[in-house]
Order: sequence, then structure tokens, then C-alpha cells
Amino acid sequence: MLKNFAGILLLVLTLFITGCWDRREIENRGYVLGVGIDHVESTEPKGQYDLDKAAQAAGRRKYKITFELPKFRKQEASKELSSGQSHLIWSAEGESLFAATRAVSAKVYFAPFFEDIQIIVFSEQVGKEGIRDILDFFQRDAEMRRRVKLLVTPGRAEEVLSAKLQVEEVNSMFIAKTMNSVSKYPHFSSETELGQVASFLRNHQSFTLPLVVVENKEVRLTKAAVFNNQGKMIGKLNELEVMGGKILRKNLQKGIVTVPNPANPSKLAVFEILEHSIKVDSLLVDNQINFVVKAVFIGTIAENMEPKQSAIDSSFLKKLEQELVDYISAIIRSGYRKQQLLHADVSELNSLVYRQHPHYWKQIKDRWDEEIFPTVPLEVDIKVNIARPVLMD
Amino acid sequence: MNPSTRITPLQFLVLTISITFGTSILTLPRKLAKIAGENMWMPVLLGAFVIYFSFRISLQLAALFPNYTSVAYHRLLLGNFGGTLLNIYLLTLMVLVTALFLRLFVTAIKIYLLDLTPLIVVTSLLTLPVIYAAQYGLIPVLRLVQFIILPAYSLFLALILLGFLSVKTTNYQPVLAEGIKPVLLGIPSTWMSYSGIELLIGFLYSSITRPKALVKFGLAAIVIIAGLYLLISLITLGILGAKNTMHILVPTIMAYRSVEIPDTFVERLDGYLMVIWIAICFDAQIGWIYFSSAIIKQMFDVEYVRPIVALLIPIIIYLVMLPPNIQAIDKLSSLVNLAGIVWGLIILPLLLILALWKRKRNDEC
Repeated sequence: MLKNFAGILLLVLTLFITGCWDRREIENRGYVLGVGIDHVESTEPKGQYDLDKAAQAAGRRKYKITFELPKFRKQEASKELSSGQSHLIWSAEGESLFAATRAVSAKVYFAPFFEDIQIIVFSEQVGKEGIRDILDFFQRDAEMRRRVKLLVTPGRAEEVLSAKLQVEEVNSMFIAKTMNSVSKYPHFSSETELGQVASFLRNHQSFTLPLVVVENKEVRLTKAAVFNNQGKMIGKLNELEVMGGKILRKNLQKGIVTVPNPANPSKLAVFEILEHSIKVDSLLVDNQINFVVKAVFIGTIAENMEPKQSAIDSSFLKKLEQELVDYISAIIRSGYRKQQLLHADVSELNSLVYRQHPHYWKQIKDRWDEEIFPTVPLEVDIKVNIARPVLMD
Repeated sequence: MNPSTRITPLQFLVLTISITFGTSILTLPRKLAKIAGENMWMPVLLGAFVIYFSFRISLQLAALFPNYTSVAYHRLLLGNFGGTLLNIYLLTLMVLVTALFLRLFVTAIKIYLLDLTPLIVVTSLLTLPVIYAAQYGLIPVLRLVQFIILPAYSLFLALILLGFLSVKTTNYQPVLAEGIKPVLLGIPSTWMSYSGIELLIGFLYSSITRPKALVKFGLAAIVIIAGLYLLISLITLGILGAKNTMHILVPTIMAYRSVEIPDTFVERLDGYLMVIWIAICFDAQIGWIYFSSAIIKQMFDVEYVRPIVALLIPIIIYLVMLPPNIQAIDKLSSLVNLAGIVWGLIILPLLLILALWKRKRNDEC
């Protein structure tokens, strides 16, 4: 009898002890999908009650942190309000991002919850001052995704999140999904994840983040903001320099190369890269390092704008291949030169030197970005193979 | 040990794997990355050879006393006082290992799963079922371990292999840039991850149905455990790189947080890994707590193990709650690791030498 009672008691007990402390109703969670970080526009109080100001015992009113949350509607209501905004925007201001995040909790009953976060956008101004200290909050929070994407915007980050786009999707989700297009359009930086950036900062490694711009209800990903090994934005790579940098870093997926048509230079020929083999080496001769990049690009003529020219003519193909070789080599060299000018080895060539010449690396690692890297010569050896020159139809 | 309790070498293998493979997967990569950098997987491999050596010593010693457990033959070798002291050392070591593993386990659960639940509640809920599991002796414990091990380890293996999707092979280079010294220095840190088999064998030898098969099954257990640790070390290193691994509190979980399979029902791996890992750690805890209690039972010649388990669990919960922070856990972990090495590589060989010497002397007499 006593045994049965104890057994029943244990069973009943399980109903009350399963995760009671961590019970959170789904409607009480604020699913943050995007975070924007700007400098405050003004440190003066806003309005009678200054709703945005975070309570901080120390620190300035420095950053404005903006959260984008999805707006959940009842199913019937969503049919009627299909043209309405699909997101909610909340913000707070302070120097500590954590304090500012907590300040938002005084405005809403659903505490910001970061497990589903998609993007973090920094304004260029914030980037130029440095993001190393800001990222600490995001790395420390156990809810944060390591693969959340980081971006920089030339304007205000809050505007990227709050802008009304053509699509009825939360801006952060839309931008995060659009970043997958990097495989087809390699002209914006693809090194964007929080985990990666944290690793770059820990290794004193320069890196790039893509720029995101919003205009006329459209969003666009473009170029790359270059951050030095201290986490400060020091310049930008243009779209072709980004592609050159990606070849050096061996993380180019696909892409197109547009060159003057050899049959008629006023018209264009477009080469689509379908596959490639890239090998980057560092050679150490007499304690002097130099890089060699050897690559073969295999692809197709995606567009031949000189219809009089037969695309299977071998002399035409040879000329076109040479044109492409020159052009791709120039892209690589210009991307490399820009990195040298900025003293920012964003192609991770330092890691190559460390792996291939660890003893040499030990001697020069503290002087790499400032002294050594800007002077290292680069040898480029490119081959292009137009494997499919014919029309499909 | 109840003389009627008999276990097969295969069951010994299952027990060894379940007891050994627990919380170390969380912290081992961090410790090794600090010492051996990009070559952190090498000490994992070499550590397996060292534990095999200790296992063989322990096995040889146990084989000299085929009808006794280690608790009994320690007394035969060192006399009542010396033997009891040695048994207390062994018991303290096992209780501390249990408490330490449990603390790391609940800390990780608190950080990543149940952040609002008090530590003591998680600890109690994980340890209290052991009283029930251990009340009828070794066989129910073994059955429970056997029941959990196959589904838990199959799923666990499948999940950890998915980690290769995010591995960056350049993180494994350069190889031995600093020479072999950092690799050798890393070996002692692997001890606690492998420890278990050298403690179990002395205790279980007299209950094994085919003791001659133990060499084969013991080796198989070590190879399986080493394989799992090697996979986890390689994947963690491959995803995070050596520098990140050494700076992150629980690098294994963080590495798997980087593995996402978008647009599938899996999406993120870390949650699934944690769930399976709870089953694996629970499995390990049952073993550690049961064997600690069984040592006490034999030391004091008590008939049933159940009251001892019931008394031991509050002590273990107290020990789990004792370290105030992660630094204290790390310090305690180093001490326990050292105590384990002293047991496996100094005390056991000395006991074997003593046993062989005594046997030779008896033969001469």
C-alpha cells in the first residue's frame, strides 16, 4: 500500500517538476530577428519621459540598439491586414548593449529572445569606431546564434530594419535569405557570421563584412566593409575587388565575368564560372615571402552579344579565353593591392604563411599587417577553359 | 559484490563505455587546445595507449586474486589498515570524479537548456533516480545501461558526424610546428576522460564469466572510447580552430552551434546533441554512483547497497554544489586528474609488484 502510494506520488511529482522554472509561454517571447546598432543621434532627452534611455550607473548615452520582431496576427486578421507592416520595431539607448536590451523590457512584456536572430547591422559610423567591444555582448549571450549574419550599412542601421520593403516579410529574414545569393553574385562579402568574426577578432585577423543599402523599397547587398585586426572599419572594397579577394581566399563559389567581345570590342561577352580549381601558395626564399596563385576556371559563354561571331570558332574562343585570363588576373591583383594599401589581409594569407612556414611566422607575426603584408609580391597564373561555348537552343 | 552476480565480457565492455564517456567531451577539447594547439587530437590518441597500459596492469593484478574484488585484495596485500586507507583513496577518487562530472554536466545544462532552474534542482533530479536503479544491485544497473547505450550512442554518433559539414581542414595545420613536446604534455589532461576501465576491472574481475576474454573486450572498449573522443576533438578543432577552442568554456557545444542545416527539420544541431548527451551522462552517473556505493558496501560489509546509495547521493549533491565558480571546478578537475594518474600509473603498478613479490615469496616458502 505504502509502496503504491509512493509510486503514485512520484508520478504526480513529475507533472510539477518538469521544467517549471524555465517555462515561458510562446506569446511572452519577443523573437528578435534583427538587431541594428547606431550611434545615438542626440544625447538630449527625447520627449517628456525619454522612453529610450537605458538605466546605467556608469557609461554614456552612446548607442541606439534597435530590435526587429515579427508581428504575429490571428489568422483571420492577417487576411484583412495583408498590406500592413509585418514587423515591430523597438529600441533603447545606452553605452551597454545589455543594459539597453534590458531597457526594452520596460516597454514590452515579451522579453527579447535571441535564439532565432538572423542579422546584426552596424552603421558605418559605429564600424569605424570599432565593433570589438560591441560584439562581446553577442558572444556572451547563450541564446545567440553563432551563425547570425553581420552587416554594415552606410546610413543608419535602424532604417535598414524599419524600412518598408516591397515584400511582406520581416526585413531581417528577407536580408538574411538574400545573402544566400552570394553563390550566384559573388560581389559582396560572404564572411559574415558572428562566430567567424569573433574568431577573426580573437586571432587579430582583418576581415570584411558586406554592406547593405536600402533605397526605394529595395534592399541591396554590395561590396565589403574592411575591418582591421582591431575590429575597426578602415575602408571598403569595391565589387570587383571583393571578387578578387574571394579568389585569393578560395571561397569564390560561382560568378560571371563580363569582358569586351574579342570579335567586336564595343559588344560584350559574358563568361559564367561553373567550376574552378584555385591553389594559393606562399614561397619563402631568403627569408622573403611571396604568394603564388594558380587557378583554372571552367565555364560557359553565358552571353555573346556579337551575334555575327560563331561561338565555337576556336580562334575566337582562344582570344576570349585570353581576354578572360587578363581580366580575372587584373581583378585578383586589384583586390590584393587594395588590401595591401589598407594594411588589411582579409584574404587570410597570414594563416597560409602560419600553416606553411610556422617558424618564419613566429618571427614576423606581430609585424604582418602593418609592415610585411603590404610589401609581399603576388604572382598570378590563371587559366580559363570555356567548356560549353554553344547555344542551348 | 554478490558472488551469484555474473557478467559477460560484453557487458563489461558496455559498462566501461558508459561509465567512461560522459562530461569530458565538453571540456577535453579546451584543455588540449591550450596545450597542443592544432595538434590537440594527438594527445587523445596517445592517451588511449596510456590507459591501455594501466588497464593491463590492473587486469594482471586482478587476475592474481580471481575470487576477490579490489576492495578485498587491497587488504590482503597491505593489511587491514593499509588496505582500508587505499580503499578510502579509491572511494574518494570515485566520489570526486562523480561529483565533478555531475557539476560540469549540470553547469552546461544550466547555461544552454534550463537557465532559470536552480542548479540543485537539476542535480537532484538527475541523481535521485539512481537510488531506484541501484536498489537491487549491479544487474538492474547493467540492464538500464544496456537499454540506454545503443539508441543513445547511435544517435549521438550520427549527430557528431554531421559536424564534419562545418569543418575547415586548414584548422588542422601546421602539424607538429612546435615539435612533439606540446603533444606529450597534453597526454596527462586526457586521463580523466579515459579513466574508468582501470577502476572497474579490479572490482568486476571476480564476476566476469570469461576472464580470459577481458584483454580483447577491454581493448575494444578503449578503442571505441578513443574513436569517439578523437572524432569530437577533430570536429571541434575543425570547426572552431585551436585559438577559439582554448577560449571557449564548452567548445564542443559551441562548435555544434555553428552547424546548421537550413531548411530541414534539423536546422540546428546543438539542441539535439544536448538531449542525447543528457541520456549518455545519466548513463555514466548511474555507473559511477553505483560503484562508489558498492565499494562502501564491501568496506563495511553491509548486506544491501540501496541505503548506501541513498546516503551517498546527498553527499555527492553537496560536493556538486561546493565549487563556487568555473575556476574552482577547473582547479578541482586538475587535482582529481592528478589523483587518477597517481592511482593508475603509480599505485596500481606498485600493487602489482608487491603482489608478484608476495606470490614469489609464498612459492619459495
